[in-house]
Order: sequence, then structure tokens, then C-alpha cells
Amino acid sequence: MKLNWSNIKAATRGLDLIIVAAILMATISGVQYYLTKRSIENEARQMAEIRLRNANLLLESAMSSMETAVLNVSRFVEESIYDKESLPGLTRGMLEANPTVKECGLLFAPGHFPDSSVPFHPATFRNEDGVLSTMDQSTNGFNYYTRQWYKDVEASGESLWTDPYLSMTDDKMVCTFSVPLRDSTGTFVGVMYADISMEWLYNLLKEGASAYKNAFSVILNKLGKSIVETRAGGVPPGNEELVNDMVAMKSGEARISYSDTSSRAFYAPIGKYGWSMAIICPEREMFDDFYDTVTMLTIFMLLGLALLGFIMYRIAKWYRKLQSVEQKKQRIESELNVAHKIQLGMIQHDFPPYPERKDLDIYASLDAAKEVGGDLYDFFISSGKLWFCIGDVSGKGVPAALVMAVTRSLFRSEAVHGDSPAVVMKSINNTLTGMNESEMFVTAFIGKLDLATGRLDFCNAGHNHPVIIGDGGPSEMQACSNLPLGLIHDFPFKEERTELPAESTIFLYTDGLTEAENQDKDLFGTQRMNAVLQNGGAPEELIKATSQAVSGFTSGAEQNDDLTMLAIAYHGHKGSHVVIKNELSGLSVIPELIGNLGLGREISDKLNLALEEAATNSILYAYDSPGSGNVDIGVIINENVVEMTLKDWGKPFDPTSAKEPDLTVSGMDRPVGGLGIFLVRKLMDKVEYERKEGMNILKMTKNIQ
Amino acid sequence: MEAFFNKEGGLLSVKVSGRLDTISSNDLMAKVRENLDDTVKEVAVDCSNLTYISSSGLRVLMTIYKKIAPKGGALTLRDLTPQVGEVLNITGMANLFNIE
Repeated sequence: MKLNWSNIKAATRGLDLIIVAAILMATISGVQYYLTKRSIENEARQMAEIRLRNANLLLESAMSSMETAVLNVSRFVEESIYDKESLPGLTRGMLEANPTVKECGLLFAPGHFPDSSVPFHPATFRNEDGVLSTMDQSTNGFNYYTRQWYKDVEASGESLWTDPYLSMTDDKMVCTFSVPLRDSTGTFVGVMYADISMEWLYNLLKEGASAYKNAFSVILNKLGKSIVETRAGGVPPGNEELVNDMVAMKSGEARISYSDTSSRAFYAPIGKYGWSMAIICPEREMFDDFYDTVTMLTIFMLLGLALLGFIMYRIAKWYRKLQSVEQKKQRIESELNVAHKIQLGMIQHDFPPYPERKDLDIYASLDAAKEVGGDLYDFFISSGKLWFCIGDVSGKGVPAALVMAVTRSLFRSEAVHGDSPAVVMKSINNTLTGMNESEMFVTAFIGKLDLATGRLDFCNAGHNHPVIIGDGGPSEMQACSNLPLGLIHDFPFKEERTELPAESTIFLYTDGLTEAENQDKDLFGTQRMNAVLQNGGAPEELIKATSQAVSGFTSGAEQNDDLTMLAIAYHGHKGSHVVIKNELSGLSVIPELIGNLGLGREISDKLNLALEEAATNSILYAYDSPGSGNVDIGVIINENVVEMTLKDWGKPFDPTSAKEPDLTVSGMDRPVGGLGIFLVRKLMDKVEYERKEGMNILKMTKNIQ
Repeated sequence: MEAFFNKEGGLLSVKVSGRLDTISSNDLMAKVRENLDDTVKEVAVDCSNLTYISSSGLRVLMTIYKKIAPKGGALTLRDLTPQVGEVLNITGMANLFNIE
């Protein structure tokens, strides 16, 4: 399937549809995308808030319960402030009651117990296995007084939570809550402290963000320093604004980025000591599934559009094919119309063509089949000769019509200054073979009828033999077939001759007549044709009767070839024969008789003179008295020979026997008359006399060119 | 056929127009006889409009010739048309008459 440009152009007319569909789908998708994303965000936010709150609550409760425990125990301590014996047990009790406490101790200021210079530092520890051990820390030599949980409390006189730090005891991160101890006078005497393991807090946080795999939590102290983080690094660098907001005890949501992925941070203050917690979730993870869905939907949408486009393209292609078939059909039809017009324009259809002529009657008809433009007929008169032709071009449509037009033009131009049907045929043949590329040929019959004599010269080129209808009915003309025109260059067409008797008709036709088919595929044939021609009639009757017979025979079957007929009725040459009385006034018919031959001026004058002289002789000398007898004058042309025949029924007289006058004799001795016969003998080529059946017959012959 | 005659001195001028065939020749012969009296010594015929001549016409000419030739007069024919000229040639009469 070729992707050609016109198909694409046609398909893009349906592009409007695709564009609207695409816009619609994009809008809907866009809205859905937006709504879905927002709802996912909301869900994440809510979840984060819940967890934050939970974490907050848990932390607060853990820390405040620890604070409460420590504060309570510290009261007991203050009551037994000097009782070295009981104080360790209190620390132990603390651990026993609070499983989250790792260590609890009492650090008294130096000099508190007057009986010793070394500080008293009872403490209880819980080890990994949960075993408690109580001991006096003062013996291990470490200066705890510098520790924040002692120093700051001593300085401020208030409880505090330390930041997480690494406990010396077991290398773990701990946070310490310490409260000041006072005696009955309110004087600061030492600190009670309890350590809480950050591990516990770490686990708490870890659990809180477990919904998203790559999410993590971080707790910042009031200085913005990360004290617990479930991912190393805490708040990623470059997010100062978030840290500031958290330090400022704000709660909310922020978009932050770390390692090139954008994340959401949900944060809120936590506890009572200026800590803030944030849950940080990579947006990718939040929207992972969402993006997958969106991607899939987009792919489906694009596939859908592509499919739509493809369908439109195919439809356009099919439509264009339909259009071109339609156009082709119309082109063919108009071509056939043109062929038809060419054909009609070329043939004569005004009948009768020579109404003033007594010697001829012509009628023709051409019934064109739907698809063919190939038959032709033509005729014209020139110099007393009737040229006619009939032809049938093989092939159909405009090419056949053009060949027909060429053939007809050639017929006319060659015949007008030509002489011989065979020469005309050869000329047409050579022209057609010269231009013929598509194996078209023309069958044709050309005839030249001498209207004065009835002599018919003709040449046949593969055409149906014409029919001559005479006294004995129709009979097929004998003719050589030669070859159709347009096949073999320089083919030697043979010309033939016959006499067309007066009162006979020559009937020419094309095979559209004899090959007309009826529904059963039977052919009309020559027998049926002859049966109609047998009835005779004038050319128009003849042709119309034949037409009717054919339509009656085919009765509704479709005509598949042109049907052409040309009929020429030859009545013979009137005025070639006159009978006059033996009076000089009868000589007036002679100019007309000679004029009818249609010859040139000079030759006509000579013939006129000769005939007049001969006729005068008969008129004056054949009979005894004027008007008592007849003189028969006949004039004929045969080939290039004029024959004038004079007959009378009078006294025998042979003009040829008269002596030629002696022209050498002097004028005075010359006889006045007797020159008539002399002139006849001089003007004509041959003068013959015959006495037959009581007639004087004088035949005068002259060759003319 | 039309013929016009003009006699002046001894010269008879004739203008013949049309065809001089058997019938019209009789007519001309009659007219010639009228006009050709003994005072005429010469005859000149204008043949420019003479389109045709038959032996009857030749006879008329011969008749004229025979009348004046013995007196030494000449029969002059002027401006012959081709047909007429040829007939005169064939019959040898061109030698007898004065052709101009």
C-alpha cells in the first residue's frame, strides 16, 4: 500500500475529525489526570498527616510519660536526699517501671554528702538482654559534671531534654531527660537523669513512613539539627527553607528535591521541646502507579488516534479510487460522443443530393452502434464521373473515427484530380500504413461511374461485394478482394471494370448489415438481404425496407456494429439519343447532345461541326421532301472515344465514297458545296458507312484526351 | 446570327456575328446577294464575333469570292476565331482568302 501524497491529502480532509477527536480526548484526559493527581496528593497528604500526628502522639506520650516518671521519682529522691542507702534502689525502680528507659541515675553535686569528697552517682542500666545492674558511677572516673544534662540544668535550674548523643555506656544513641534536685531549702543539690534510647524512636519513625518504600522521616531539634533520621543524611541539602519552617514550628507541606527527584515533605512540630518532624516522600513513588496508568492510557489514546487516522486514510484511498473509476467512465463516454460527432460530421445526409439530375438517384443511411465510429460512405460528381466509396474501419472510438476521417479526406482529395480508383486506393493505403500504429485497417470499395456511358471502374479492398440490382433481380458483383487498407505498404491494388446497365442500381453495404444479430445470435446474412433487394424500388425505398427487415430480425438485441448502406440508381444518360425529322430546324438539338458530353470547348465545337455537316446531308439529300423522313442521331462516349451515329431510312448514299475535293484547284474551279463530308472526314478520326436493313448508318469516331 | 453591311466606294464591309451554321447561312446568303452588286470590288469581313462556321457558311464565302475574284478583287477576313480559322485551314480556303 503506497503512501502517496494525494491519498494523504484526501485523508487530511478527515483530519478535522481527528483533530476534534484528539482535542476532546486530550481535554478529558487532562481533566482526569489533574483530578486523579490531586486526589493522590490529598491521599498522601492525609496519610502523612495521620502518621505525623500518630508519631507526635506516640513521641509525646513516650516522652511525657518518661518526664512524669522522672519527675515523680525525683520527688522521692528529694525526700531521701541524704540517704545513700535507698537512693540506688530508686533508680532501679525507675527502670523497672519504665521499659523504655535505658539508664537512670542521680548525680549529686560535689560536697552534697559532707562525709565524702567524692561525688555520689548511683545509676541503674539495662543491657541488651534486659538485665538491670545498679552501680555507683562515681568510681569510673568520668567527669559527668561537664555533661550538658548536668551543666545546663544546674545553670538554668530547669528540666531539659538533651539532643541525642552517643552514650558512653553502650555506644548507642540516647536522649537524656534530666531534672534538677533540690533540698528542703530549694538549693540545687544535683540532677536526676534518665536516658531513652533513640533506637526506639528510630523504630517509631521507621514504622510511620512505611507506606512508601523510599519515604523517610526526620526529626530536627530547635536548632534545625537532625536528631533522628530513618535515612542517612536527613533533610537533603539545599532545602533550607524547609528547615527554617520546621525550626519555626510551622506545619505544612513543601516540595523539596534531592538527588534530582522531587519529593513531598509533610512536617509538623513534635513534642514540647522545639522538635519538628518531617515525613519526606519521593513524588515519583507517590505517583508511580498513577504515572503507569497515565502512560498506558496515553498510549492507548495515541493508538486509537493512529487507528482512526489509518481508517480515514484507507477510506480516502477507496473513495479516490471510486472517483477515478467514475472519471474514467465519463471520459470514455465523452470520447465516444466525440467519435460519434466526428463520424456524423463527415458523411452526407441531405438527400436527394442531385435533385436536378435525371440520370441518378442516390440514397444512403448510416446507423451507428453505440461504441463505434468506424463506418463511412462518400460520393461526389466531377467531370461527368460519379465517384463513390463505402468503408468500414476496424476498431472503435475516437481512433477509429480519426482513421475514418483521414480515409474520407484522402478519398476526396485523390479522386478529384485522379482518374483511377486503384490509384486512389493505393494512395489511401500508403498514407494509412504510414500512420497506423494500432493495427487498424479499413475495408473499402471505391467506384467511378461514367455517367454518360454507364462504365464503372472500381477497386475493392477487402470489402463486402456490392450488389447490382437489374432486370433479373439482385446479383453479387464479381470483384477481386485485394487486401484491406492500412495493412501492407505499396500493396498493388487491382482495378476492375464493368458496365452498369441503364436502369440498374448498385447497392453497397457494410458487414453491420449482414452480421446483425438477433437474441439467438443468428446472423441476418446475405440471403435475407437479397430477399429484400429482390423487391426492388428506388434507393430510398430499398434502404428503408432493408433497415426495417433488419430491425424486425434483431428485434431488440443490441446493435454491435455500424450499419451502413449506399444505393445508387443509374438511369442511363438521357439525351444521348435523339430522333428528328428531316428538316434543318432539327439541327438545333445537336449543341445540346454534344454539350451533354461535358467536354471542352474546342473539342465540342469540332464534334458539333462534324455532326451538323453529316446530319445536314441526311436532312437535305436522304429523302425527297423535307419532313418526310426521320434522322436518328446518337452520341456516346466509350473510354476516350466519342462515337456519333447517324441513321436515316432514305436513299442509299455513302458519303465516304465521295471523292475528296481537290483543294489545289483554283478557287474558281472549286465547287461551292461538297465540303460538308470533307469537313467530317477531316474533323473525325474515323468515318464508317454501312447500309443495313434499309438504313444508312454513318458512324463517326473521334479519340479525345 | 447578325450581319451588318457597309458599302463605301468599291469596298463592301461586312460584320458577321454569332454562328454561321446551315440555317443562318441561308439568311446570310440572301443578304449578301442583296448587297453584293457590281459596284463592289473588294469585300472585307469582320469575323471577330463569328464563333462558328459550317460548310454552308463556307459556301457563302465562296460565293462572294467567285463574284469578285475575276475582277481582281480580294476577300479579306479579319480577326478569325480559332474554330473558324481551323475550318478554313482544313478546307484549304485559308489560302484563297486574304486572312488578316
